[in-house]
Amino acid sequence: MKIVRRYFLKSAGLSLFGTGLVPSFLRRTAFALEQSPWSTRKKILVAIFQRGAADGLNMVVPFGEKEYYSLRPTISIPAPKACAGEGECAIDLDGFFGLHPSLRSLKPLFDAQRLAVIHAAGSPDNTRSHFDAQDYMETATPGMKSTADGWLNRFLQANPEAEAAPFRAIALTPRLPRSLMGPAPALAIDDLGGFRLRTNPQSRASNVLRSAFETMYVSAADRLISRTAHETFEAMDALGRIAPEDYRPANGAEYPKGPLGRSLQQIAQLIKANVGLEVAFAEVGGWDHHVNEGGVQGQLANSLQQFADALAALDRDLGDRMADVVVLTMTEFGRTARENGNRGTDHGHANAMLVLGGPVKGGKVYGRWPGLKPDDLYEGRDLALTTDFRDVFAEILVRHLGARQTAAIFPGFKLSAARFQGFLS
Amino acid sequence: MGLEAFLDEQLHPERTNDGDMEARLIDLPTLTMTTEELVESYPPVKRQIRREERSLTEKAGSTTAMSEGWTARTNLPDGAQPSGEGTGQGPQEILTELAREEVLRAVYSKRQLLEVMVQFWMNHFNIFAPKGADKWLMTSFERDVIRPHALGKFEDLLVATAESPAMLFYLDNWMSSATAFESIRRPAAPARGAKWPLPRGRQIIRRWTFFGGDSQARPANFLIPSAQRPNRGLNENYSRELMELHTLGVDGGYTQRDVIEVARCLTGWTINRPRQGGGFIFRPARHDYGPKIVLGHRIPPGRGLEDGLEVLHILATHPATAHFIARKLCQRFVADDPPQTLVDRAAQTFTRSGGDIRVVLKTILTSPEFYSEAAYRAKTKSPLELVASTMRALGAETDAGPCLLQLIGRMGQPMFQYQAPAGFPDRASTWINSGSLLARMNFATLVAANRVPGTRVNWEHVAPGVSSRPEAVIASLDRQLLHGGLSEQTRRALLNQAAMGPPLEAAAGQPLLGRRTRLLPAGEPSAAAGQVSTLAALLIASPEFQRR
Repeated sequence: MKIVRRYFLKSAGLSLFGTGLVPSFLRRTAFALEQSPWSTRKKILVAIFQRGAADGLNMVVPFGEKEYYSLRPTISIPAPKACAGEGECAIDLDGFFGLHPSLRSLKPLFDAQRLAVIHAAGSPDNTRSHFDAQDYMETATPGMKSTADGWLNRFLQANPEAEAAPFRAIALTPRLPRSLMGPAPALAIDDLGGFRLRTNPQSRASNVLRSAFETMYVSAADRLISRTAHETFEAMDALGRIAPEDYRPANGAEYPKGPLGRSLQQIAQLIKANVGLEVAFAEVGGWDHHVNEGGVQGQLANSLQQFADALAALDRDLGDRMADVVVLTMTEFGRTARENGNRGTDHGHANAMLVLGGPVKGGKVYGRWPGLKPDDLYEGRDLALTTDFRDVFAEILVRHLGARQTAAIFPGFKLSAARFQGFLS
Repeated sequence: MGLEAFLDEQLHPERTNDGDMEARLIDLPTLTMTTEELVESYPPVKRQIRREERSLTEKAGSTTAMSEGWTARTNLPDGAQPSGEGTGQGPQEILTELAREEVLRAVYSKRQLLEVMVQFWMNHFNIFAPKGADKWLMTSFERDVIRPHALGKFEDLLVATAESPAMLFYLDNWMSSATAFESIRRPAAPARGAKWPLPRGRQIIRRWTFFGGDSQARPANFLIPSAQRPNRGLNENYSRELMELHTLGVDGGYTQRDVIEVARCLTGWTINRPRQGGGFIFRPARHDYGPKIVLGHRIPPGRGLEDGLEVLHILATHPATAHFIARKLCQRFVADDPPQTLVDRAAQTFTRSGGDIRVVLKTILTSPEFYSEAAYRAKTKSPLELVASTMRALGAETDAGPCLLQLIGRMGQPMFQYQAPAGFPDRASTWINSGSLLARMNFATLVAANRVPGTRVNWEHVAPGVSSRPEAVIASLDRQLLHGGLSEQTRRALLNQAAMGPPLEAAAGQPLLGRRTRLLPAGEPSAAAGQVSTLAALLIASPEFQRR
């Protein structure tokens, strides 16, 4: 048994861990006696936010569209047939769209029908402010700033568990993202291994100190602090058993060095540790390429390489467990169809989202393509929107996580299964 | 000193002698260097040069204007996370010293309000320092742009930021110029008298005023095809953030059209000799001379630098700006969601005083709302505030070294490293989550046990002459740290600890702050740690001490 289940013991009337005085042999015995409450495996969503507005037109390239090349004289990705050499052009997906060559590690997943693209998706709101657009996407209420909680938190609220796991929802980020803010418990931990009190764990003194902290916080009048403290101590106990620093990825998976690789590796670890994870969140910045974005090579290419390799490593590491997992990528808006005077792109509108996982009907680019002719462009400059991001969110929540009460999750938005793209069956 | 006298003194920091404070900065040589000297003394590390040269040779990425670390990389490569730990040689050292200055001033300066306002404006005009050249530019930004204007006129501050190389670089305006598209679309006027190359500098402006009468006119030389002039074109980045974040606020009533028009007005605002760390320069050759309309104001054609200055004046004196800045100040000093009546009054003061920050602060700091029950401990301390208040309350000695900076980062406020231009949101939810709360507990434990290298609390002096009775120690600590605001729950936890616990020294571990951090030599464990430091650790981490 790898995991501590403090709340399980609590519910069984064995509230021993609050004092932290239980000898380790007794802990092992206690776990060995009981079955995991999650012996039935959960369905899991891994949401990844590309902060800064990734350039979807160079990520999933519409090489079949002549205008794409006239709009982007220096940063476009050559069509597969125009290839000067290996890795110098788009990787053909369906004769019209191609992956940026830096995404090559995703191609086998597309071929295995585990990866789907939804193009020309995004927010119907026309804001080009990063902050507003991220806010709208994370609250899933475009145009409404007063929304208090995030869409993932509303999912958790609307679909409570009888036995709430401390790790039901976690963000591998230093600060809790807007998507997970709200009344339902959610953790923000950017380094699982470092998530403990810096005290000598062997000493009785440290146990006493820890329980003094706990006493002080749990009854605090400051509700934000008392709630957060409760989640913090539960998580610390659970992590104490997983020993995250000893983790070895499976199947020869190699995560790229860098924040996203690190986050996804830790998510894989939590999934395999059966701690009741249902919603995981990771983020990666560095997509706001106003200047020298690059084409086949360059800044965007480097970011995409990290991005693709991290996703591919997660898929490989999880192996069979990917049958339960859907990974969704999002970014706040697209970028201008036309490159700007600094060989970069400015803030635009619709964009491409990726969906990866065992349950995904992949190998296909979903969504109606609006085209890039002058009249097709949104406000004369950006890729137009044909899929509302909330329809993508909703399809995953309903068909993958089995969400109920979807009206409460998407306030002010009339959901209709008829608008689902069908990337999940 | 009475409250009024104190306020008056704080609002006029120049009247306070802060010599002891300044003496603490002597060992930080970068703080007084010019940008040129910093570039000279802290050249980019070699590894970085190679990597960036590689990216420069890429066909779409190469430009002649940039090299050797002065690239326009928007972000660090993954994994190159800047930490608070100085490398000793590279430009990272500059940022470490600047961060140390901010912490030292927060802890030791007598000019507290000035320091609070410097931090406020640094966050309001946030710059992600690790972005390329900004590593060398932040020192001057803090010293020459923010600090002199922190209590001055908002418009002066705004213009200073707009002209600062740090902001010009961070939000890309230094590369923005009249677009090739625009140049081609507009008919060219005969360029009588126009010579190429143009003389440089501000004095050039008058030369072009003769175009003033003709809305379509622009010098012929601006029609040089973009192929010969790489990097020509409009960049909207600064223009948008200028309105959204620095002045009007996102609901300030501007449109996408305004974003473009303001960007056109600001073309030519760039950096002189960027590779050597030069200052602001207006380059007439990059300016867009066409007519523009900004927020309903006609900007006449044919002018140069005045376009940008007029835009900044329009923005600085706009009612939406008065309201936006007033609200942010009230949010800083009163509550996460400050009372609307106070915001309105502060905004009125802002407008009436011509954007005089000192006067607006006086309105807020003398308001009944500021002293109301509802505002008492309404704000959650930022990590920097927690550190400063801890050090001040305990009379600690600190050099604000790398270890303390790392702790501030772990608590969620890595200094100058908030990536987006919005700055840290000034709300409790920014600072309190499971990771950062744990980091606060660890900070309290490590400081109390004197395990933070470079920081030392003399526990003999913290509660002198108090008997060893826990009640007496707690009462004394309560007075020093909380001014008697200890809650019943916390008192119980402390008494319980005193009854059960061996001293903290036995429990405290090492400041392991991240997987790559090596252990630094810690201060000697205090012989007097005992009960006082143990109970202080709890108090520093207590819910009430997280508030101000």
